[in-house]
Amino acid sequence: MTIELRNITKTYRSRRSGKKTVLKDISATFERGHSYGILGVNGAGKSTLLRIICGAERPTFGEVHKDVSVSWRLGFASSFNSSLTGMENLRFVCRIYDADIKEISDFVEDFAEIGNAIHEPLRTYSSGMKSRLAFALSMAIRFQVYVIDESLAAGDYRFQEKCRAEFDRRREESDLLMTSHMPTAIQDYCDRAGVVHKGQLKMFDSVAEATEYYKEVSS
Amino acid sequence: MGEKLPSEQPRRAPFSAVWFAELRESLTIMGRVIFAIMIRESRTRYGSSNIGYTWAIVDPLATLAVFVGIFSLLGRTSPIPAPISVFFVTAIVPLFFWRGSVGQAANAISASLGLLTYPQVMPADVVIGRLLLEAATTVVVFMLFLVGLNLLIGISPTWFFGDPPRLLLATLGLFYFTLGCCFLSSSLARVLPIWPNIWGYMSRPVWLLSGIFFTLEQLPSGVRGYMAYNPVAHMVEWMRTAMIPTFQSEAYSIFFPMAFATIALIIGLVIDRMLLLTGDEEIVS
Repeated sequence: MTIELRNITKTYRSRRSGKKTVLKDISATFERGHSYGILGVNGAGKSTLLRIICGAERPTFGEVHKDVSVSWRLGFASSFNSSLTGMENLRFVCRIYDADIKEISDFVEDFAEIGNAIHEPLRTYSSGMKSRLAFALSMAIRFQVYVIDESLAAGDYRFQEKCRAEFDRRREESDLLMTSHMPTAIQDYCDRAGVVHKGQLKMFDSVAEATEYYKEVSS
Repeated sequence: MGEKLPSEQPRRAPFSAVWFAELRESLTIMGRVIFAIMIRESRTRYGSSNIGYTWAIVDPLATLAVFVGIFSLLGRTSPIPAPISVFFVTAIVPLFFWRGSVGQAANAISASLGLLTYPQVMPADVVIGRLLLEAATTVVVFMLFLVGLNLLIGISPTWFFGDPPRLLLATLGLFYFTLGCCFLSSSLARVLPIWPNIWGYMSRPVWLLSGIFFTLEQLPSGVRGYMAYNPVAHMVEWMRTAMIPTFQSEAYSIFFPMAFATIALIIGLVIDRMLLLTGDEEIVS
């Protein structure tokens, strides 16, 4: 058992449109040693599910049990403050994760390849640089499960190849959990998959089965 | 399978060894997060300014100097047997701290939504981090003011340390009072988005009604009856009696502001917990 979801329900309340239940009574288990893909059309609740698994958000009802370290969503940069430099943002993350600042910054400087820009305020970064930094930082801190929301669309082609190589190297120690609305993106990385549809999560033992079901419900 | 599911584990009995170990661990994480937030806040609060956090010290210092300067020039006599600058500083410094912290707390959560996506960062950490930073700033400002007053107009620092043990108690009291108000303020802002604006309007008269220009004791008993509903005025009077060696007052209560702070703290924490349990939180992306 790695990550276990028990009867997860998530309801959002909005002053304008009232209550909206995004996830209804979801139970699922994500096992160690397998990488999972989550398929679903836009707005199906994939990202909500991922945020709940990461602990960025709490479910309205139900529980999440984890006995592994789970990363934040990879490449997710909105926790960065734009008036701080890249290095200052990095130090903040190191402090809250109790990671060695020297070690992490060495890795990030090497991996992100943004050069001296790391000492500039984040507001001067291009979006590519920002996601490179965010991505490198999440790779620098060792997690047992890495969570990716909507593919590895960080940086240019070469950077994506680098990320892919890094993940392959990590296969032994780390698993992946990723969402996509494109089954092809998931096939490359995952051996199991689930489909979020109408607030329900259906898990399959292979990506092929999940893809079939996904095509069925989304057409 | 063999492994135990978490639900099969016995619930942690309070005050057992496991319970204490878990408590210690979560307090360690909390300390780490608060420290990180303090450093981050000190960099971002005046982010666009070149002199950075120095501004946080210059700002109240300038306001204090203007206040004391104007009233000294106007030749207002001090209502108590102490120099007028002592009279003002003993009220303005605690009020600055209180007002600044509560204002900071009102914006704490909405300005930190990105941080709250890290599972170990809780809303309370942001509020406490900001409060501690404000407290540290206040101490520095106060010390600078002591030095300044001594050098410029020869006011001895002993005017501010009349009764050290009592001063320590009053300072802790002020901190607790501010803590309670901060938690209430940050929670109110989460359920009532207009709260920071309301606080802006509200805090201005409170500023004037809390005893910068008078002491509770010198007021006629009729007015004093109304003033006594303002817990901040009690805090100011308490701080003054503890600081100024020649000033004593019977007109303030310690119990009232402390009870006020406790109730504010409880309401603030209950709202925070309710938002947490229902998962009805603010979402960043």
